[in-house]
Amino acid sequence: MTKADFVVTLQGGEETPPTKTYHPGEQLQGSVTLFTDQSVKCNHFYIRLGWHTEGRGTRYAEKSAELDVFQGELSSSVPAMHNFSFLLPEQPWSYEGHYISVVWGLEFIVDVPWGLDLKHYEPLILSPRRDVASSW
Amino acid sequence: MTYHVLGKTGSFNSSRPGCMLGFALFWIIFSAVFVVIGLASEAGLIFMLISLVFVAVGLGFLAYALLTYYSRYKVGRPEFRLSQTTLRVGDQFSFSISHTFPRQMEISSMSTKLIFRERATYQQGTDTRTVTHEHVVKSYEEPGGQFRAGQIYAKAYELQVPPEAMHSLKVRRNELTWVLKFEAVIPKLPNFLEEFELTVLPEMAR
Repeated sequence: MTKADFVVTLQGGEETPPTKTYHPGEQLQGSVTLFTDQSVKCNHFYIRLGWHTEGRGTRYAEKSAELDVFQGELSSSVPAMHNFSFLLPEQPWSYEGHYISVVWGLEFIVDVPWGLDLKHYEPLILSPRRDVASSW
Repeated sequence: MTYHVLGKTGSFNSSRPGCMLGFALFWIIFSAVFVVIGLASEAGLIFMLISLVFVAVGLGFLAYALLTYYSRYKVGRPEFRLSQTTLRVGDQFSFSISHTFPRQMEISSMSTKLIFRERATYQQGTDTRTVTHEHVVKSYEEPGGQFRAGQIYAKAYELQVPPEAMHSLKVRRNELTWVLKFEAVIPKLPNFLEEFELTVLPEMAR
């Protein structure tokens, strides 16, 4: 089975460890570098921006935008680096509640034919500019 | 129930006992079928007792629904005014109640609450379950008392969707809603309850 390391770099945003916070309507830019331990045939290398619910309710997910950045052979000797840019939507805002959470993130998927897809998830926070702390 | 939004009068059906009344009638009729079957087929005593217990449960639901109607009848039809029902995060709005009591009655207490409600539905085996969590953002408690027929009661409140709050969201089996809840506690009767749903947009108030 192929092992893969995704190194994701996000530009801009506010540092709110363990992730970054962005505002609705902002441009989200970044890059992903993929290291594999062997050569892999790649049908598609998708980068998806989306959100989903977490918690007690049945999971609901929505894809906001998708890029198909690569098709072909991924070499183990040469890491594959791809830049991406997304316009962040106005809603829904990230939320962490008692039973329901709204989680935004970037999903990196290498569609491998006849094999397990290589995946990585990078969460982020989508929150408007507020004059008060969001510790509600 | 009437309420006024931006000068227009509308109606809002919420917290009505009609659903329970319908459910109770359905339950009683369904359970009564088994009682009739038991009588007609000379079924055992256990079968009859279980059927009668089900009918009794239905009668309990029916009694509660009728008492809820009675408490609404006793209170009458208060007039609620909401300055707006579509808001942005951080927006202020006003809510007022005015009421002329049609008959003498006692009320233990009255409360007006701005609530942010999480409602999550999930599947557990073959059952569908729903859990609700209410975050009371603001609560106004008013003392009750004896009200005479013709006595006027009026209250006005200024409320705000907190600027650090979340907007409304309704997606499959996950709901985040804002509600304004008015409740009057009536001794020995079900509470008089009225809820108004507010739509909070994913925008910040300027």
